[in-house]
Amino acid sequence: MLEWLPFLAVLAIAAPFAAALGVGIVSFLARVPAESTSHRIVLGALTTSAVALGALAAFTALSGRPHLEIELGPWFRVGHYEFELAFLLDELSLGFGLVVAIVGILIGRFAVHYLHRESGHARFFGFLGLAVAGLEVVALAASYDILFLGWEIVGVSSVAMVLFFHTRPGPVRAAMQVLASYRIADLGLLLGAVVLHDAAGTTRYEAVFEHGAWPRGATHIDVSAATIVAALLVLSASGKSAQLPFSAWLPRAMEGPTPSSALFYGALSIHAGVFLLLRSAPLFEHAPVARFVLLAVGGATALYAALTGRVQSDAKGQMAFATMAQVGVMFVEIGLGFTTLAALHLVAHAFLRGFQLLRTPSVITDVRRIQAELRGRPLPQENAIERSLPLPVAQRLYRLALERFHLDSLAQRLVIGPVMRASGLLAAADDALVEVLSGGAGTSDGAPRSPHETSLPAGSPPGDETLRVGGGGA
Amino acid sequence: MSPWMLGLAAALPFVASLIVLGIGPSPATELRATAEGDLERAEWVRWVAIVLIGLSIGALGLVASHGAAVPLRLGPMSLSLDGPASLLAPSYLVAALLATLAAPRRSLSRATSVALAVLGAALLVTLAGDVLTLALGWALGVLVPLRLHLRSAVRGRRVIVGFGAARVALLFAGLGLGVWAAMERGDAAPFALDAVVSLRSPFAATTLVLVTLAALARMAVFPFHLWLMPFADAAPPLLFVVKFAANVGLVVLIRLALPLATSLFDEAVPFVAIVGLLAALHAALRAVGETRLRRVVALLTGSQLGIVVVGASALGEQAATGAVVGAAAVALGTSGLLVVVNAVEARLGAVTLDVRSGARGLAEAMPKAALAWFVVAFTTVAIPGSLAFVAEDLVLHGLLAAHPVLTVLMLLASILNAVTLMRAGASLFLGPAADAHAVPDLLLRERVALAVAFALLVGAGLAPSPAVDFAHHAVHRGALHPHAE
Repeated sequence: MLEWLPFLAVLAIAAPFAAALGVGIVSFLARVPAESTSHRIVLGALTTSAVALGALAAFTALSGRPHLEIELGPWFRVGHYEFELAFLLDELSLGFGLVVAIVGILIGRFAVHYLHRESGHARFFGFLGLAVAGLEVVALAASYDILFLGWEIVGVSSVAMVLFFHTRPGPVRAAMQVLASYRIADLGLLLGAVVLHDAAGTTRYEAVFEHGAWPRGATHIDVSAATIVAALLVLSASGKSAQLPFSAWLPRAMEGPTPSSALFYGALSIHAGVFLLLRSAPLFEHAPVARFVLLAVGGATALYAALTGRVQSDAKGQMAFATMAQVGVMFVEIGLGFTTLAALHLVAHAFLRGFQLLRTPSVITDVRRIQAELRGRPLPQENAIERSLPLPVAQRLYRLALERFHLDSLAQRLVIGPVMRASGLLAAADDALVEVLSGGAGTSDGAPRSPHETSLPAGSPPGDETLRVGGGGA
Repeated sequence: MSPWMLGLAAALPFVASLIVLGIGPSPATELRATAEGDLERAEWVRWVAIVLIGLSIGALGLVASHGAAVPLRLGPMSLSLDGPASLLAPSYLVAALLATLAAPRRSLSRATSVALAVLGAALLVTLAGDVLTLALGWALGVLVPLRLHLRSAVRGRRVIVGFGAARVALLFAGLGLGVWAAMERGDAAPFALDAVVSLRSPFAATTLVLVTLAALARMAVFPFHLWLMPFADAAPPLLFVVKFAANVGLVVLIRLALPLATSLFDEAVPFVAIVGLLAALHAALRAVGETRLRRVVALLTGSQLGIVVVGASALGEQAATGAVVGAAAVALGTSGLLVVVNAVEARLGAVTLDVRSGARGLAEAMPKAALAWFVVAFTTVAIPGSLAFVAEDLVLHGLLAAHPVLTVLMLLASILNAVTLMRAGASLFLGPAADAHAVPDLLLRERVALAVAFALLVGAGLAPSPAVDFAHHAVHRGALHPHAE
């Protein structure tokens, strides 16, 4: 059986990846595959992945080896540096891997009917395969280097899913916000892995966390390096799991279709940050400052999301903030060292929130049913906390929650605005310099500018004069 | 036979240029309605260029398979396929081949001969084993398109020509000084690149500065980027691809400036690293607010090349290998992006990304073009599974110890580039369909070109060992790190 393990681990990842690639290649080179073809290919691949993971889980459970590493050899190597491909099979990786595969199949099955006759049906299934492949890489990775591969693939598929309804302006803006947040957060994981290479000589979990299988284990790297790496991982996990200061993207990302919201922002992708922290738990034992940061981020986000979620008027918005709050609580649990509790919380929350999000289109029906069951009695009120607060405080909190604590405007004022202004200033300076070097306001020869003079490509076809002269500088 | 094959590989783009000059339709037809005979001749231009560039790639392949290090010598001039050239030269040819395959038919006129000659000049610079060949290729790259620029109606043509003259003057001055110093030293072969890069005299610092400035001017990066804007606005599609995908400024920086800096400084080269970082950050920041699509791609290429330069400056084998792999990935990625840009411009004219008037929503009419843009964009910004990711990983691991602050700043440039590419794609393809009526999607040849670019970027990214090993050996054969054999 041992010789089959590498094959099964690779199959769990390669099957959904190959399905996604197949759908993409056929769509590009020929035509978009029929609905039944695309969903059968992808759901078949997800089922294959789930069966492979089930077999791996059964083997590790029956063989009494709760902790097994599979080496596939170096991906590439330069001198003494090797990017090793290896998978780690333990209760955390197989548990999360199975959750990913099962939830992926369930949501995919739901989407077969929900997205019937949507123009992006095949696209959804292509990215579903890609996302599941990425998440399986995150789950089974034996090192931070490999985890990063899956981490980025999940990010790309997440952005693509937000863009599902790409003809509406809202999803386009939301996708930009998600991408920017992800890229900044990815910096943390990338730098963390490189610092770990320097400090420990490797990013392999087995080497970094010695003395026992997860969640036991201890790290031998010095406190300062452990603190830097752990803090960078908190940054990265915060971005992926929509914790402060990256929380603003999650409600916007709900612009995608309901199955993608359930998959990414209810069940799976949103928990990738929690998984990263769970995997890195021994590091936090050794880095009290980073642990404090983790507790602060999780606690603050839980409070922020709980308050903001109470004033949301749409079902998906409420779900987004509820998810954010629960993930914040998971961060706190990990910070306090309750890793098993956090892992159980993750699994339960993934299934529950995924289900709730899939039910959101039927929320009116659900409310009517509840009202019918209540037979005219009023709905139970849950505003005990609000009533206990002094009125000015409640009002202030209400306004802040409505404004989402000004996170968007702060990001605009402190990050986006200055970057765009700097870019505009550079462009204006360039244009002015080109103008001066070209001989002032006239043509390059100093003569008045001819109507035929243009700053657009020589190969531009005629007949589109508005485009030709209306180009406008930056 | 191998050395002569090298000469053949370098000569074939020039041969193609001459044939195209003879058979190509007049450039004036670009502004006329399609004439059947001209379109037929334009197709001949395409296939002549494709066949001869393909043969050139084949010849380089043959040379590489016979043990790349045998140079071709013609008097004091020589060509050799060693060091970073062994990966960069084929990348430049493949980038040009794909762009030619996908080029809009109306753009394939006699003027295409200029692009092919510039490609030949780029090959000369990349394969040069001596100062004379390098200078010849460098000068041809500026002089051949001169007439085209002077005849252009674009505002800023004086800037293009002025910067071209400046970069020729700077390189000639730098190389002249280097050769003179080598003669003073009593070197037996003063024109050999090895003689110039091993200088330690007081002139070496001046040579280094002059050569670096010339390279930066060719790369169109800060503070020598001003010619980029009018050039991007005016250049015919194929010339634009060749200039930016086959960016020989990087070659000069890697083959001349870095080894020269190594002989002047003992350890890493902060001077070149800082220059690269400034270039990467400035271009990334400049591109994020740019509204003209061609300029966006040109600026992004400059930023990516700046990152490559930062990597190369670490002078370790990991970072240097990453830099060479990264340079090849930039060439292919730039070519892929420009194929999409050219395809869109062939249908809609020059495109601006005016955020105030909203997105264009072209994905409705051109879903394949949209898919191609986003796929190539993600492979360009180092998504795992792409060649650029492998390059970035190697650069990061090799660089962090030498320049931790520069590494973080370099990654900031990388983040901005991702946002810029996404923003450009969103402005062009996403949003409500505005002018999508009757715009055809990508043609089969455009799709094939993009599929090949994608296959190379992702195929070499998923199985990177051959490309990495090749680049690693190239680095060892060259002089990119102090422990080179």
